[in-house]
Amino acid sequence: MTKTRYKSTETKRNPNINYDKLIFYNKFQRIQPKESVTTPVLKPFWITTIEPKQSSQVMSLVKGEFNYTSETLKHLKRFQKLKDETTNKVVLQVVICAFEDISYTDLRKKLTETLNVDLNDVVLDKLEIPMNKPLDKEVNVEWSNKYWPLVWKGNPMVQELHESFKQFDNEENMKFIKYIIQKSREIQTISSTSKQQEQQQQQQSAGLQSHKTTFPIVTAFIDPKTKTIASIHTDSRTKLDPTAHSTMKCIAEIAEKELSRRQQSGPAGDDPATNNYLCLNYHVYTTHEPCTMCAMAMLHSRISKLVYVRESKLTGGIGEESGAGYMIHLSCQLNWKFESFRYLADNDEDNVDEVDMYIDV
Amino acid sequence: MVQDVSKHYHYMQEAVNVAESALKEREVPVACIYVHPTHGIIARAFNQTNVTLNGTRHAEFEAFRQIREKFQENWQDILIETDLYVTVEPCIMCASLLRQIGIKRVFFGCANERFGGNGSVINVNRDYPRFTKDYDKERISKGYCVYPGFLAKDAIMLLRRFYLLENEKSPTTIGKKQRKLEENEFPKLNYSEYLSVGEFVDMFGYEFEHVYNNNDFLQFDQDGQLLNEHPTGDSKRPKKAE
Repeated sequence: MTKTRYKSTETKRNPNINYDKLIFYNKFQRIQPKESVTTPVLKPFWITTIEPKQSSQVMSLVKGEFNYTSETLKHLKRFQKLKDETTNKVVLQVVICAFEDISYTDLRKKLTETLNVDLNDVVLDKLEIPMNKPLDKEVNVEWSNKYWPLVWKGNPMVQELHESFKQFDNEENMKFIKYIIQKSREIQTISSTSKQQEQQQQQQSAGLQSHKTTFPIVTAFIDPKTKTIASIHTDSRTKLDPTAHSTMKCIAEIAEKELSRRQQSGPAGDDPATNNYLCLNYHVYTTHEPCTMCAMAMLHSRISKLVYVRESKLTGGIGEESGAGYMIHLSCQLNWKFESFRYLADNDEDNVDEVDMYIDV
Repeated sequence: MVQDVSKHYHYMQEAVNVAESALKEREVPVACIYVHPTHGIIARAFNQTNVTLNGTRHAEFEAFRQIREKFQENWQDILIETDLYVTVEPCIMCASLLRQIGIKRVFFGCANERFGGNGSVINVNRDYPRFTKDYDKERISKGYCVYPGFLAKDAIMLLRRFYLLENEKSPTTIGKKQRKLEENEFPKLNYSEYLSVGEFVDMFGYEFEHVYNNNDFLQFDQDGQLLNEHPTGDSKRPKKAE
């Protein structure tokens, strides 16, 4: 398929971005849905109908008490002009806030006070409004007619790509990705030379510890403040502990370090203003696409970016076509999301070994 | 065959008790127990995310660690026969863990609307790879069934009490109007997100199919018998299908 997915004619093009394949600097492919958005995510809102002369009063109410809605509603127009069929007069409809934010009675009371009118003169309706932005202009027009007028400022996906590119430090990415690839290759070398020995050992002792398998999986968590490695681990699952995936081990180590820092520095060191919170905004570099469990562990830990090398087609939780196609980094968007990239290796030297496709990385 | 529902009710009651003890330690009151048919309750735990500063130390992981210590040689054989009772729907991470370690079934209280991995956000317990066709299904971790709604209101009340306590202690809310504990309104479960109607009636019996269809709360008496009456008001329940 050679169809260009995101036409970027309306925005200036950046030569370091491949807009069709979503690749930065020819090396890092951003993991995001490729299908254009055609289904609206609808949410009910309170809509009031007023006369044009009342618009400034309503606006002051919105600015005063419902200002928090402006961020989530910036993709739509606050007002819509309509013609009253019976009186032939122009009326305005205004989005106030989410339906769940306030009860009918309370909002009606507020509007009565604001507009200085009789309770019965307040017109308040519930209306479903799209919370997502369509990716092309025609759909934008279609939704505007069907639901509520939407603002069109060019393809939002191109804007998002540019926003992501701005945060993308190519040097840092190359440095850490090369480092973990090298670490992974060291494990590969060790495991291939000691394979025979290991087999012998395993046959000799049926002890549990010897069931340890060596996968060339390496994960590094980078502290965004210092741009240094806060934790780096290899996969060390055993029969006794099948959860010791490299990601889980990094998260545990970072938590333990912070805990002992707080304990050692006494009450003065335990200050909400300076304490580290989970792995907030950390950058994670890993050799193999993480499984659903680890991908979600990263989301719970509030990382801001993940870069991986080799795809896990069956068990991965990030890639658009990995596993069941969850794209975990974007699955809980109302609470947290993180950027994800796949490093495109040029050749075998630049790559890591495949692991058994059935294991959860 | 319809199962003995009261057993599940009593086990969930125990999970709720464990969650209650989390409140005293200012931990998020989400708790679970693992139950084996012959060993009984083999592990109980609540969230440890606050005390450990580790956002992944959920109850399911904590209790699983106990099981591995207790059954070092054969925890895998044990888990195949083990049910999990957890007060809140497992998050995506835990749902994936439970599948990887081969849990038998999962019973939960309320939905986890933000992060739920058993239906609220995605169905980790029953999905299979969608884009790769050539693979051996036998080698993918087997899925598991989930049964939502056991003591859902109790599970929600625990969380509400926790957030109210935390808010009271937070310096940013001092001076603001005190929130009060909402005790009468609970979000309904949409059963079809979590299990099929067939799975539901296999568990609860055909006479309670209307609970599934109307997304009603499961109502139990103190012995753990399901009380929900048929909405027609007819006190005689429809005959059980033979």
